[in-house]
Amino acid sequence: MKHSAGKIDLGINQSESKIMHIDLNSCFATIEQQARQHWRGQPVGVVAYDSPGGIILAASYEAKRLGISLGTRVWEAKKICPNIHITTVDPPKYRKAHQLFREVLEDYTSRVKAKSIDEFVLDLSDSRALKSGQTMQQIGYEIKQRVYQHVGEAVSCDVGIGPNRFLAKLASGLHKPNGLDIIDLNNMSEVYAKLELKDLPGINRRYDTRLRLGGIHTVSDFAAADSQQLRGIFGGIVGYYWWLRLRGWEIDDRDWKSGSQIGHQYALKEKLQPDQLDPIIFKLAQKIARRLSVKGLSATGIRVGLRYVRSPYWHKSRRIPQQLITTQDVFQAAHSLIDTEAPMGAGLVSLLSVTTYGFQPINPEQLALNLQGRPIANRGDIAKAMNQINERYGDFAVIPATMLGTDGIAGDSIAFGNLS
Amino acid sequence: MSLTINERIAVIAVFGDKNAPLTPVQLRWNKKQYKLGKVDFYHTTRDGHHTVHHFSLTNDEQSMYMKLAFNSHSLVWTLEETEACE
Repeated sequence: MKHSAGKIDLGINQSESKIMHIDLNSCFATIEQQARQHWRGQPVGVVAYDSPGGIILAASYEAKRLGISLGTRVWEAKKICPNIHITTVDPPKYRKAHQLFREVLEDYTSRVKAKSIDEFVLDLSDSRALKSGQTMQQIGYEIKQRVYQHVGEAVSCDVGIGPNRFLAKLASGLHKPNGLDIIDLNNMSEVYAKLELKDLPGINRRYDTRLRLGGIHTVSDFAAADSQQLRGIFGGIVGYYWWLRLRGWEIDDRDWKSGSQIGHQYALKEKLQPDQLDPIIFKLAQKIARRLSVKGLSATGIRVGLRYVRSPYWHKSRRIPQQLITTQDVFQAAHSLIDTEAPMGAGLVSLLSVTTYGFQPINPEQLALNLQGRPIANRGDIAKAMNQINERYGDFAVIPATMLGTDGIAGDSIAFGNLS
Repeated sequence: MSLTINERIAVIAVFGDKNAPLTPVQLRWNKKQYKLGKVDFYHTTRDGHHTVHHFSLTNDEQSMYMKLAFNSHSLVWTLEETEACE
């Protein structure tokens, strides 16, 4: 055992691979193929808005083989493949598939963590199946079969097995679609030798450049580098984490962001000027306020982001002295931030996000002086009552006048990426 | 390309099967009867407190895809969308 940069040099993790990473292949497109038999085996693109300029959010493997992928415009996709089936997103369908998928996985362990709508990580250390003598590969093949039976015959998944989450995820991407691979002490070097830096989950173009500037050009170089060198390249502890990851040690089993923020964002079908955003801000604020109310929390911070059609992305955070509890509170805080801080003359907005943070339990409030002789309810109670009405009669059954005319501007959507 | 229909329709359905508590088997739409095949995907949505059940399937000749909805409060069946299978 050696010491490096004040940390104990652990070498390569030699323990058994008991982490499994599973993701559904081309999730949204595959679920649409499951729902429509006649689309199976054919190119399918799922879009937020079915217009020539709409962006493909998910492409079936048949479409991917033709070069159509995330980000391809509908007109481009139709130019490549005039017969491609285009459909708009149907989030309730994908949530159902996620639930069915989870039901299968929870039969194997309670330690199931959803990474996104179509990705799960299982820690099978305490799994009954493993203890009864099944190998990780056998469990992986069994899960594939059960996903086929339980979620649908058009649905397949990639399975990756490793001693940590990073290697399990890397393994799941080695043979897409419908692969099953294991990366461990025995084949780690061999796998690394076949990959490029950007093939590693978490290595983006910026990190790739940084590594190359630091003299690391291949994954094998990366794995052979010592922790001190990586600390230098990444500028601190992040380099040490990479050193551990590449050796199979667990560093990603943490909920960095769990419960730290509540927010929503919408891509706008019709681009709007910043001063036209109020109805959308209100809609987002109402969703956030409902989630705060369910959790019994108030927020003390707000962050707003605007993506412009022709200007750089803008975002700004602000601490708020009073508690944000109701829709009105969140709306006013977001509105004020845009009003006072957003760049002037930046043009049309294509995406708006509102996020709250700095949570506290809702404290008893000092009520306002009742000069009108009318009964006063506290803001938390008003928010709760509005939420109950909307729960019972459907989303936006009760809306403030500011939201009139917003139907169809901001629909249901599913977040990409981590669910934590 | 699927056509959005959203028309109320008459449906014959089986309730209470062990594996599928509700299965549409036949429907009438535009003065035509359609025998229905296996449900390819089933999911639900909420309409306030009420559950709406959605069924994606094809007719038994596999010539037409249909998406049906059953509102558990109003007990109304709706043909949400169709598409000719080619």
